[in-house]
Amino acid sequence: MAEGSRKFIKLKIKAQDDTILHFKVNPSTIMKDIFMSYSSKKQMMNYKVFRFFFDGKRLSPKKTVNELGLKNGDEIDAMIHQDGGGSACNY
Amino acid sequence: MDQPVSMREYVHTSNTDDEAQKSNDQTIGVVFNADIHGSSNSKSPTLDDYSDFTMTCIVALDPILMLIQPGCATKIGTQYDVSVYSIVGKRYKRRVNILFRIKHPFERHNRFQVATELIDEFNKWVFKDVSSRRGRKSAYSKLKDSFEPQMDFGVVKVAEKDFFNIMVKPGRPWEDGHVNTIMYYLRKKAKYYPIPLSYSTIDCWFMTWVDNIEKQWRKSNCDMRSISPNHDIGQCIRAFKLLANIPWDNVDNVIIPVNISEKFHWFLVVFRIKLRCLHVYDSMKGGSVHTKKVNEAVGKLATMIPLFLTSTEFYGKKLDLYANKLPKYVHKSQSDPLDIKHMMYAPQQEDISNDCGLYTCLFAEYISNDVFDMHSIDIDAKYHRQRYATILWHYEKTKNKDGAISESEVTATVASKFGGPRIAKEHIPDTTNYPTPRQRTRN
Repeated sequence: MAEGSRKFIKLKIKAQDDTILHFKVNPSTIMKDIFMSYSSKKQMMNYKVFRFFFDGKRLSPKKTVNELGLKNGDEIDAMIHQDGGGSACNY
Repeated sequence: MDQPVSMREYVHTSNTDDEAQKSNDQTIGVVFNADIHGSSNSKSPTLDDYSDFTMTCIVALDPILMLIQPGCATKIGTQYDVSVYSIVGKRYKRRVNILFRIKHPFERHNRFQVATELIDEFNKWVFKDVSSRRGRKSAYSKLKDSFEPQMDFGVVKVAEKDFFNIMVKPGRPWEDGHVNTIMYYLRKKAKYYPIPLSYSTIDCWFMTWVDNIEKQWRKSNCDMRSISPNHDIGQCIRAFKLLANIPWDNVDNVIIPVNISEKFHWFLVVFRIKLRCLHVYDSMKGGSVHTKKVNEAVGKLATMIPLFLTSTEFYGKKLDLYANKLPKYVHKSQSDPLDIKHMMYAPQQEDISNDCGLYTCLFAEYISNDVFDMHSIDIDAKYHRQRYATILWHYEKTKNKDGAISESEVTATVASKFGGPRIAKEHIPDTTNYPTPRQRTRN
């Protein structure tokens, strides 16, 4: 494990407006840490505002980079969450 | 002549002391046989000459058979698709991941019917432990909210009970996860129906990408360089990016769920490719501000989709549109904006019911059954909320119960750097959260 921990993985996180932030992470980092540092850079208080996607699948914040099978140079999409109920449409 | 000697030694040593006397007799017989063959110099002895050899002795001696142990093949049910046989060898106990054969939850529940026992069972589960405290965002306390094992809906992994509570409870607005899940399973339905159906769906992020690229395109004074087939939208059209995606040139209708976050509203747009028209199904037609916002969003779709279709060479793959001289195509340039038609008689939701996510999914499901005209359809919103939640829950529960997984539907992305589709990554199924497999007994 000592050798593995020295290896870094470079990830890209792409926002909706095509701006890309680069992250250099440990394979054993928990995704939540990455998400939180991403949202603080985007000046959002809560990381749950963003939905993080890789290959169309939502990434779980509780898993590590290794568990999700992310490789060097992978690009993650960050989308702002959407909801709607239609109750505000009446004007 | 080495072979019979070594075999004789083997047989000699392998027998236990109790049977030493008996085995000695046997070995003598073996050697006798072998000597005859050896002296005749005709052939090396075959296995038939050793009548007392059991199968295990042969396997133990043979280096090739030792590697591949045939093991036993047990049939484990009819619910599974590919690996019906699990290989249980003596030495190799390799569990093959069981693939779930029911591709989508709609398969078992066609025609909008769900058994009432199932609904009752689900209600019992979902309304247990509902917290009575008001002002909470989630309907459960933090401890009661999570459940094991988590449910894998492809596009989203669910470990919170609140996901289902939002679906069931009237008045709670649906989020992107719910809409995307249903769109994903409808897409799978189109893909794996006995006869491939002629529609495709996309995730709700499509509108966000369209919104963004439209802004960039206008900013750069309609510079066509920003429209590339490798943009997210281009990838969607070419069947990458999303799970279980279908290329648009294989289908006739594309179902697009649209969220306008400023108005807190979902509605559905259907791109009828043969009519070159966008049909808008809006479950809440309201005031002028609302209509303006809807028109804005649909207008963006109408402008951007033809540009991307041109850049992804969609018309080259779909020559029949011109060959059949469809009136909508003959007199128009390829990149002209699409027509827009508002469906005036779409069923309307009740006020303050926050049902528009549900209505969007329902319209999509009706269209998946080739019902385009919905003005006569009566929708019982409460029942349908119940129904969607129940079938999703039931589907995942049966899947988890057997420790099965769905196959990977990853379509990968086009890495623009390398100019071509990247081969799908090795799929590492996450089996940590599934229940430990039950020991399969040999029959």
